[in-house]
Amino acid sequence: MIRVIGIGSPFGDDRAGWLVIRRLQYALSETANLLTLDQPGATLINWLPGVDHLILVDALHCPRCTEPFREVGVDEVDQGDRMLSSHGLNLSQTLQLAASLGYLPHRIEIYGVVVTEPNRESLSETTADNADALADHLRDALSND
Amino acid sequence: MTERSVSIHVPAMTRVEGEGALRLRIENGRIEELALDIFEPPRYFEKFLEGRRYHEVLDTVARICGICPIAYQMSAAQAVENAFGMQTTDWTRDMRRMFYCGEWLQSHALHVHLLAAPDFLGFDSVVGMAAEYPDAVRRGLRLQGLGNSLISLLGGRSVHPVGACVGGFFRAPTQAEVDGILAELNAALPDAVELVEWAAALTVPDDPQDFISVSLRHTDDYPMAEGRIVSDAGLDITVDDYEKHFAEEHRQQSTALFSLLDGQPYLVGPLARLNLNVDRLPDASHRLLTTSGIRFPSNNMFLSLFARTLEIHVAIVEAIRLLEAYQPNSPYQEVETRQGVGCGATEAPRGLLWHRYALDSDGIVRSARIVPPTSQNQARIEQDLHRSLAAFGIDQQDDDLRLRAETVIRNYDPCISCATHFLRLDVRRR
Repeated sequence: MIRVIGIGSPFGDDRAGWLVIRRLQYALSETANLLTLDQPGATLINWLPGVDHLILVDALHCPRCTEPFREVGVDEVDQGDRMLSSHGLNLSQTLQLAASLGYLPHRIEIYGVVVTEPNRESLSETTADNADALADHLRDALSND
Repeated sequence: MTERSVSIHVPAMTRVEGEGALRLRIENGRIEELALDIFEPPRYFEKFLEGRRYHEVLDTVARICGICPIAYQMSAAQAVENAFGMQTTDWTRDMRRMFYCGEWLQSHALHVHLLAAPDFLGFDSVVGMAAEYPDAVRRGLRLQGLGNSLISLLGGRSVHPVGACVGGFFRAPTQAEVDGILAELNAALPDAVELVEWAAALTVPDDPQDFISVSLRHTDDYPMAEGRIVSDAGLDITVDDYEKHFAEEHRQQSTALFSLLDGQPYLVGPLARLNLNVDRLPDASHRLLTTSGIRFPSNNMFLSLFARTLEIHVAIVEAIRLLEAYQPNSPYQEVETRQGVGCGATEAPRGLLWHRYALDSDGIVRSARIVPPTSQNQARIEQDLHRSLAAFGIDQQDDDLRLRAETVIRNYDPCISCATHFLRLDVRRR
């Protein structure tokens, strides 16, 4: 099973991950299982059993990025989130835990929708466009998979 | 005892919520300095609330904690309703209890499996523990996920839920939604029983201590969202009288306040609740406790983990009871604002959470005070550290001392982000 998970919240550009899922809702409804979550911590693991191909989509704060979205490695993701929560697990730890439990999908892709103003209260047009670009990319990639 | 000087500094505590540190200095076999430093910046929530209308309070206080937002919402709702002189309906009282069951379930399952159990099984994290105890970790994640589902049923989402309001809830779940989650709860009951048995079999240090337990006590039920405030030292007061007995003080090393009961440190949380409310357990949970062979009241702080597992069982049993009797109903009462002061107290997963609000006749908050459980436990944590490290033996190796100190702190499941709220502004003008 292919599962695409958008991570985010209703607030400002943090909504980017959810927006990608909404854009894919009709195009990929028969190809992939689509899901939105509010955190990438331990809860994520409950959505991994039975998944062969996992695609995670989150907002990526990257002021120097010029592209609309970027595929990132697990190691890259953890550089910034180490201090954000000491109670929960970061993404790298979550995936390590999933591996220990035998839940790790064979294939994992992590995409960040580039946002330049993470503290905005409303969704910016640039982020909405970037989310559209990633949705187009995923739709094409998964349709041809 | 070895004559030596040891200085241990744990600059950032792991497996606790928020940013804190520990300083321990031993000189010539004596603990000369021991402090739990809380340096997470103060968060000013009480000030943010001033000038806000009553209906903004629940969404605001939910942001204090991503792990226990419901506790903040329920204490606030109770306090505001008391200020307005409102009586909630039986439906709302039942649903608030059910909502709270979800929070206990997810918070306790997280703490027991991901944060505390590695300490008692000899691992530095749940990742290592999962390799040897995969079924226990899977069980914990299932229970945590179920707690999140229960929260979402009434709250719309599991983190910072938005479904609760002063007067009740914005929406009543449909019967189909309730039937779905009821099936999940019944399926999880064997997991909860197995968890209690597993926790009872864990080897934890036997370290009896003297401490005062404080919690809510309800006339009939195991306390969650209502009750009087009691202690095992004879305290028995209404939530309105809290400030007559409990006082907070600032200590230099902490951005959180230290709370004292009549000048003494005290314990809030699952162990204190169970110590004071064994006779209020649901029958099935009480039978499970009896067969576990563990006796309460207990003065062994390390049985906090076991108490959490029993409260997971309580949460599932109670949620099943409440949802089996569920009938969709009008989810809220209209609110009539009036000038007044109201207090509210509920049992957050980590213990008693007390709020007081003064509101004007338009329902605008004029002042707010929030006393979270971690502030209340802070003096007790430091007292416990002194006692536990002395009992453990301060001539132990530095790494062993550090691990024991961290284990003691994590045992309280401290939520540092919740506790860092105090900073007072002292303006001097010429």
